[in-house]
Amino acid sequence: MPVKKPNLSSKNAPRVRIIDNYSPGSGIATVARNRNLGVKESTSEFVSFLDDDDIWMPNKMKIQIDFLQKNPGSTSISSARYVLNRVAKFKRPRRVLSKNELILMHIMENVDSFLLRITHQRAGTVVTRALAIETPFDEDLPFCEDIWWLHELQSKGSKLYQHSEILFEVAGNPFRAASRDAGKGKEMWASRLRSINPKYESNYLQGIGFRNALLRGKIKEAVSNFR
Amino acid sequence: MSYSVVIPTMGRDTLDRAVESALAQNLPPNEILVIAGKEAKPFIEERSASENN
Repeated sequence: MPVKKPNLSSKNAPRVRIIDNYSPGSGIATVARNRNLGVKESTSEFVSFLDDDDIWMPNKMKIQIDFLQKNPGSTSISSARYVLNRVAKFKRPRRVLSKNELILMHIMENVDSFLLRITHQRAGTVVTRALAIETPFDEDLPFCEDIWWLHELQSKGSKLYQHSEILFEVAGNPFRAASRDAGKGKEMWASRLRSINPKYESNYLQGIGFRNALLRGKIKEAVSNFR
Repeated sequence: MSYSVVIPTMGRDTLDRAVESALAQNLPPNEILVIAGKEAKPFIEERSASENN
């Protein structure tokens, strides 16, 4: 696999490796595949994920690594500030995950949460490399693979902890991903959620129905999803 | 203690900004791995071309 030299202006650029994953073989070229390849290629004790449109606060990793060193085997999740069209700013999640609360329950029991997809920010999660190797991302899921990953980590006994401080900033439109909900990915997610709790599946489908109708300007249709 | 940063990219032009925020950490990373998926190919090749010129 060719490794290209980065073209970055930073004086620290030598620490940056760009790895191409253009032809990942059979299967869908999902973000999950890219994440798993990154974990495999990594050489450190801990690994963190950063989306290419996010910005970390300078103290993010110190806070999360300090936490993980005191709480071995845990999973450290960030909170984020969402910046919508460079104007509106809001913190997500509104409420962090409680101690021992199931991650899927936290996200799915509240329809509002999955509507905007942003109630629970998962990008920026930190774990040990060993844990990430042991529990890879599900490469079949075309989106929100990190939610399922956190669910699997929790199922295997890792304690999830969500920091209430804002540790990174997400720039973008929370509605942008709506179109991805159509088709195969939607079915995959519906099926996985159904296997955990049928209520989660119906909340998920309600959320998609609401958001997609809203995007088309159909307010009445959007609201009808909650009748 | 050391940590790696894994950045999957679709080739968005915000990538540099993301990388810089990782490099600017109070606790700096050991390495940053940018994983370029198929959709990022034009973006990465453009970078490589401008670097070689």
